[in-house]
Amino acid sequence: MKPGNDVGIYGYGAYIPRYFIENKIISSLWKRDAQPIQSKSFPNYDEDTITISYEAALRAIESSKAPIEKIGAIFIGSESKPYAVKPSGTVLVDALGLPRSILSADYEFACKAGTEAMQTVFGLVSSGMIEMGIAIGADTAQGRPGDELEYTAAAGGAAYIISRVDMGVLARLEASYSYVSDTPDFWRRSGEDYPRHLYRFTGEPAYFHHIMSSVKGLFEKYGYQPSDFAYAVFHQPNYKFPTRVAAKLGFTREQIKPGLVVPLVGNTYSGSSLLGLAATLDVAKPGDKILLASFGSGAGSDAMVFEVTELIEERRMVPPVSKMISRMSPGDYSTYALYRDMLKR
Amino acid sequence: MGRPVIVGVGYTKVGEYWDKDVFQLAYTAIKNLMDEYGVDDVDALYVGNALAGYYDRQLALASHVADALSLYDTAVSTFSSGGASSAQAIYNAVLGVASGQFKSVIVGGVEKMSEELPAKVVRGTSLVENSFLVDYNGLTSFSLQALIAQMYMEEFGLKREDLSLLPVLEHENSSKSKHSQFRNRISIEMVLNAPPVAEPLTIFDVSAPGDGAAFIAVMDEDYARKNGFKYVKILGMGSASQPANPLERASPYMFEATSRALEKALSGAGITIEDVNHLEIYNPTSIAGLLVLDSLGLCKRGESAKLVGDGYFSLEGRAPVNTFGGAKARGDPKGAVTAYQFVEAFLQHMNMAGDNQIGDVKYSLIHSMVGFDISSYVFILGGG
Amino acid sequence: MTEISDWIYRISRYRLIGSKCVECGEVAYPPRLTCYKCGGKMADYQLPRRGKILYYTVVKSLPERYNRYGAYPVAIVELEDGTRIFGLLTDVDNPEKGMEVEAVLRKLYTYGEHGKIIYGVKFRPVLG
Repeated sequence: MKPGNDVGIYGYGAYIPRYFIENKIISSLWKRDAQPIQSKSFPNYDEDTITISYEAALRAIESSKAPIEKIGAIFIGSESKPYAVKPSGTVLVDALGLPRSILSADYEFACKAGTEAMQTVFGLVSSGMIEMGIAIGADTAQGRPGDELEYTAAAGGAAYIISRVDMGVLARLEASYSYVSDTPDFWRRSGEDYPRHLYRFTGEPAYFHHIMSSVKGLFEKYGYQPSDFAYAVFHQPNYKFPTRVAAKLGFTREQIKPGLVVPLVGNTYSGSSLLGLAATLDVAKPGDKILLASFGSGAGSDAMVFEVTELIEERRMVPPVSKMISRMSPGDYSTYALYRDMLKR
Repeated sequence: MGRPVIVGVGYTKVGEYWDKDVFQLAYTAIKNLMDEYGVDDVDALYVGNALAGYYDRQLALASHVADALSLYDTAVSTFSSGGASSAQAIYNAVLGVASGQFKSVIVGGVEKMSEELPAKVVRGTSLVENSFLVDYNGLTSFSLQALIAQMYMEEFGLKREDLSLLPVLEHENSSKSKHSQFRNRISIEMVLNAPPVAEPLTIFDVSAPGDGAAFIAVMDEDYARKNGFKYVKILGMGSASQPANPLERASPYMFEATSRALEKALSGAGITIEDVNHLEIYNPTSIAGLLVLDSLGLCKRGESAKLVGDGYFSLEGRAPVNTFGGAKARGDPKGAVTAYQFVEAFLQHMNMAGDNQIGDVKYSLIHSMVGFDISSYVFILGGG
Repeated sequence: MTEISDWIYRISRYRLIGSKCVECGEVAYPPRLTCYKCGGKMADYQLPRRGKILYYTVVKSLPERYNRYGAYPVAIVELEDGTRIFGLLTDVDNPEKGMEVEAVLRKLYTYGEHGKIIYGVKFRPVLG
């Protein structure tokens, strides 16, 4: 897909909660050896997807000094909405002081709801229906105690303010490509606390097939190749998947390195690829091309190509993702269990 | 125009009454008062209570206390403002007698703090503060006062020990009192080493929940004399308010509501603070006690702890304070607490205070307040 | 407070909007209807989001609704414009006087298991 009018990213912001828990704590609890990543973030007891979205959006607004009176849409992609029924975005409208003449909805597509929100805002801005919009991907992901996902299901998110290119963007959207199919590798039924997944089925037929399809589709349709890109960001449910899919597609370790935040932060689900993009924008230079490819179970992938402009230098997020990670402090399992409301009362 | 006097008192020991509700407690105190002092003509029954609406879901308490006693030919009013509930009841009972409307009023308060669990008591006793400021924000009365205590200590160079001289004195007084809840003596070391409620305050710096009921009979002086009652006069009273948020005050640790109420009460009684030689003040925390004492004009602000240390307020001192232990040690049944202070002043004036008797009590000052001096009440008692 | 009255104050609580006296310029938070100094009318006033901790204490005697996760710190914060307000602290184990903090949106409490989630401002150390 290519936008009718040139659109791009006006500002970006990310947020990761303060706490992390090391994989070795979880694996020693279950007396297992598996440690897919080093550590994962978890939210304080007073945080949820709404507050994480707020923090990310606030950082995007403050770092880019965006004219918030022009914002006409706010979409939050998440699979851990605080309410099953009640929009999250409305809290942000009033908490951030956005105009009330605004579109707002919560998006859900497992881990790709964040890029889905971006695509929608790109479309609305490109069509001229709104001047600016905010797309957010955020989660406080649920990992069932003892399950593989407990090692990686993390909390965090990122927000993107999207506008027409002539309003001044830090990265221009060149093209995008989406690919979906009915491939249920992971789900959470209504009323359930934790998602279920089909173990290795989440790999080849789900993650790899869909990301490869969206990226290859994008490359074929618009004539890109891996060497065109300074950086690439893939959805990062663990360390292995994004590094392997990068290699399969012909990207180098260096291209994915800045955006690979999963080893310390974990899988922030709808926030995952968006957080990786934020970390990449933190270091990107004008003229760099960045590939972003999300993945959502169920399944689907959005692939997007951005070209960074000279405005990046004045709009970088303060503080950068790396600093947000280095400020984190360790938590033990009991704190994790208490703050995640896992204790029975 | 009537002249209000106190002719009798009825009260329970402050404590935990697991098997009595607010009505049984109030009934016991009022029945004692009526039987012991021969009060049978009651024009009005005014009841103070802080928390029955929150705990028991019982509102309009005075109507139901009157009903429990089958007192139907009386005007009733309920007053609910935390630790000043019965102060407000008495203030208005005095006005009722002074106006000539009533010859005889039974007024006081009742509280059943043990009805509820700790978290609800902590929240309930904090609800007199502005709810946007305190309840919504997870502040509590104690934590708010702990923050002000830090500012106060810093401003006046108080040592941590100075803050808690008053609770130690109050427990000393309470150790001899029959109707007090906590009769153990405590030392400064015990206060400092006790579990913190909110630094710098520990559990010995703050009042604990107590159950109790206390009522007094207020009559017109002529009527009391004709009917052969002995009495203590209510010579003056005053009330004033200030911003609930301490940070909006001229100084966060200045109790201006108390000092204004005091000014009105003293001028009504036609005396000065130097004439007062007995005080029953309301201090749910050690810091609140020092701020009340600071606002009386007996010393410069910040120096009341020194006066406490010097023995000025001890039973044998120049102006004994909280002679039965005050809210800290006698106990703090919120809606009844001012009525207990009146009971205690009455006992002192009638020479009925037993081991807690102070010599030659001339004028008593009773102080009460809503929250952290949001609204304060001062009464001057004397003569007999 | 109820699920309805909590809604009435949300804007002020989410965004730290206090009030300023149109007569004498005195600032208040929580917002007021009249000025405590001169009695004048108050108008909405956006307080700065950043400030520093002047005094703090840890609430260890916990009130209903705030007793789910253990003791928590509260503080008197001096905002950048000099306004002093009471506030909850979060994301800090060892608060310090002078610590720079900023106001952010956090969950405060809920109306039981099924009721509304109430959000509002807490102060946490400035990031980075």
